[in-house]
Amino acid sequence: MKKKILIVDDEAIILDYLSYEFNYSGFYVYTAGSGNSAIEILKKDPQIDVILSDVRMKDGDGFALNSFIKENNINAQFYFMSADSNLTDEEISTLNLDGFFKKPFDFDYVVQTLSK
Amino acid sequence: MTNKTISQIDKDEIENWHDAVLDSIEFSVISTSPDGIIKTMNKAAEEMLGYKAEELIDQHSPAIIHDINEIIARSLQLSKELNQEIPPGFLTFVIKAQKGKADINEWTYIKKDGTRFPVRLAISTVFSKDHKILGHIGVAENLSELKSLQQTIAKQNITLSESARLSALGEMAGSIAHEINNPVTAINSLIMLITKKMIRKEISLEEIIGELSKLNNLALRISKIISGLRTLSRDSSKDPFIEFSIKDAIEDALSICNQKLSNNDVEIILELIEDDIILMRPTQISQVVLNLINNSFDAISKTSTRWIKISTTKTDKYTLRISDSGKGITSELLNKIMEPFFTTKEFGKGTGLGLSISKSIIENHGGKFYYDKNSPNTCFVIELPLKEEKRES
Repeated sequence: MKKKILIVDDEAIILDYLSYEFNYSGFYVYTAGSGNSAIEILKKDPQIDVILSDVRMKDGDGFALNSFIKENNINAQFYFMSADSNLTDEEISTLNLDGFFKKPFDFDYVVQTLSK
Repeated sequence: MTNKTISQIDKDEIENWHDAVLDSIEFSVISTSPDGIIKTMNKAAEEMLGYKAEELIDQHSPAIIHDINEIIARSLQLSKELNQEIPPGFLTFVIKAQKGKADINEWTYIKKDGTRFPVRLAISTVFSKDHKILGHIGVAENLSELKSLQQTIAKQNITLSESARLSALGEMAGSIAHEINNPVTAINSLIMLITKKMIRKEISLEEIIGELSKLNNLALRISKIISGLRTLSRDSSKDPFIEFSIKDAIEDALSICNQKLSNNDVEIILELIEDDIILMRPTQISQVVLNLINNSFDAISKTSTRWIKISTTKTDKYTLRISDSGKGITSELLNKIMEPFFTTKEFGKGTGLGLSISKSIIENHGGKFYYDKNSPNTCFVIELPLKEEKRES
């Protein structure tokens, strides 16, 4: 059974590559361009293993997505990726994340970490 | 006889009294004969100029303490003004005073040791009861201290606007990193995509070319952000006024805060006209716009509806309105917002200089900068003159 990943980013180019790479690594890939469209996907298929989400996005940000998961007891690993240097460690630690990738990042490292 | 003596004493006392009065005045007082020979000078004049009274009295005209170039310049100016030839000389000083009203101007005095200092000199003509000219009198105030104070204030103002500019930039540093890191990450992912697909032989030459052109666009996006940053961080107070489009100046400001606005879900509404070329210092106009956008952003970033609207219109002037979804500024704050150092932002977030500097920038462009009390939302208005009109530089 393929592992399912949901990748959320408002930058289509980043979404394209991550989707291509995780697909190549054997994942079943969902993509969403905003927090709200990610929530729509989760409503239809809550059985997702890994979520990799951007933080600052229009139309539902990463925090909104994170709280949706907690409220609905969705049992997925949750990773943030962001270029926002204003995000504090405290903010990150209260979110119960499985990991945080600061953009720009080493894509191979991200793919390896999430494939474990 | 007795009477005469008493009257003589009175006269002496009055003369002594007059001398004492003259010597206690802080201004230099010099009087001359009708043809310009120095007749008296008070203590302050001696101290200011470094000459003893006896060195000048009956020997020199006031030209000795003046700069010949200033006298020539003044004579040319007077010739034009009075429409008659005024030769550079004593007449230059007294021609206007002779008409009955003190002539007050700024001049340079030259001390005996050659040191120069600025004065405000009031020249009056002394008339007899039957309106004959008895002589002239020049009362001068030393402006050195005033001038150096003015220079200090001017220097301080420059330092202040400098620190306001740097602080505005500092506030943005975080979001700028974000603005740049996003396209950098996109560039990385494109390079990775092309590389991986090439290794796996999954990409055609046409597809590579397509991806590379995306790469090019991303690089351009970054260079645009950086050039906006460079433009807005430099000191533009001595830039020349050039023909520039208001719309372009607005877009330059937006280029470095667009990402921050869109990431925080702030909608930008632009209603900009096309025919909008005026004489301006473009960087300064962008700085003013950026400052207003940043203020709007700080005010509305925690509210539920978030928009900033920028519009331009043209009548007998250009009017640029920047409004936001905020509900306006209370009347008690209104009186203070344009004052330097007034801020409602939390400590460390604002210098309180943004609006006061914006106002002076727009006024230097011959325009007006004000808050629109009648707008239902928070709204600042910038009025700029059409190109044909003059503005001070």
